[in-house]
Amino acid sequence: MTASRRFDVVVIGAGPAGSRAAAQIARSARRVLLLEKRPRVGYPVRCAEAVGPREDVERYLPLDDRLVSSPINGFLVVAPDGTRFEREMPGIGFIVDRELFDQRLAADAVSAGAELRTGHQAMGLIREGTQVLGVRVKNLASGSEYDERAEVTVGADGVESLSPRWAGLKKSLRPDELFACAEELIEGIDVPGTFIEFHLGRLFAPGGYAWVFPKGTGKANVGVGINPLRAGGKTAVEYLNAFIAHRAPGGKRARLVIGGCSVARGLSALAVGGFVAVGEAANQNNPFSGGGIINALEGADMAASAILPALDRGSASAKDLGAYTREWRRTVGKSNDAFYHAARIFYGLPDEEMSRMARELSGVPGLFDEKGIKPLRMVRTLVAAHPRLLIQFAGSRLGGKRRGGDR
Amino acid sequence: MSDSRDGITVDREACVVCGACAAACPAEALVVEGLALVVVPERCRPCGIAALVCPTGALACPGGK
Repeated sequence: MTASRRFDVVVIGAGPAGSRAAAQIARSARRVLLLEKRPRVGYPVRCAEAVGPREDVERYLPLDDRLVSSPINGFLVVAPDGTRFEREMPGIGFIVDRELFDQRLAADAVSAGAELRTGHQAMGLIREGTQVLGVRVKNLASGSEYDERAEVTVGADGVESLSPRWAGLKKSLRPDELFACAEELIEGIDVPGTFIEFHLGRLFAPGGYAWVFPKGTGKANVGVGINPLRAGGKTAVEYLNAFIAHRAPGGKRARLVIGGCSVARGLSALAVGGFVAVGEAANQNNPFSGGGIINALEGADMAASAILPALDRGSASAKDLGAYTREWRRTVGKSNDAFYHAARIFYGLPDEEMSRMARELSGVPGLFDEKGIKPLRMVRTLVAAHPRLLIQFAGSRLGGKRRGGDR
Repeated sequence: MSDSRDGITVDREACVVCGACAAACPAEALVVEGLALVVVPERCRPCGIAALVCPTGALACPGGK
């Protein structure tokens, strides 16, 4: 059977997580197939394009002026009551050209030796008992289906992913586990230099936030991400229109970006026998901000670090790949848990209390380091100001029930 | 099986195939295939979730809560 396998690893999805995992595994002279259902990698863009510090991203991909639309040197928060808080934070991040970014990462995987197939979609997993043996693939152009067997399958199929669900690692997202997002690239907007803006409150973004991310002079991604359960029957696009009328009246609409963004709690397991999930498919993005590019790249490297020795040993059982889950849960997963609790508390506050909390948070010493907000300190501040929330927090944390605490 | 009239319907003009509905649909009745949203009516057990999370209002689910 081994002889009939053409690939050691099949990766589903050529976004940042999938391409990075494919590149890392292919660099160790392993045969990797990278599947992408879209005809063109990176298009259409489903992202607000704000990323963390340049040096964090440059560990994975060299950056140049084409990839960096604008630096981010600070932020402005507008609380529901209109109070504004500003903080200068040079080098805190940048606005990326996401389409090109995804294409560069996929190109890196290909130069490392991976085979990229665009227009080929995973339709299901091939399984024997609990072990995943590969992927059922559909060639979307011809409509024909075929099996691609591999020692390890990597599910990196993004927010709408089904592969971690097929593997039994994940369920569908609850409506309040995703931000419904709508964004427009606006030309002819007055942007505050290289600061990014966040607008809070029910009016523009119930249960989430609205944003202005500058993309150079007079241009910005202007968007909203809302909790569908708090939206009062209105769509994200309707909230976006209201926000644009408020923040960028008269601006020219240049590109509409729509998407769902996972803000779900991290998965308790990221691997089963012969299968791992990475990136947004694995709920690895930050559940407070929705941001997930660096997390996806980190997750991909951790996954590759567990997959490669498993391939060397010739055994990719759940136990062999479990090192990946442990490494993730010990590091990024741990801070994501704190962000998850902070988000549950913060975005659930009524407007007046959210304004008070935003003021409170802005005055907390040491809340921010060079990477941004420190999640545990944020949770501590939120809980200190809202002792009754401690009960919810403790319930969701100690109960171990994925759905506890916030009902 | 539900009456198909109660199940999900897609306004193809408004749908941009973002996948939010596919992420939230508990029944895998909505699947992003390439650049298309594919509806599998026989899997839909009209719950209203897809219509609720859709950012553009492209989905309607008369049978949903």
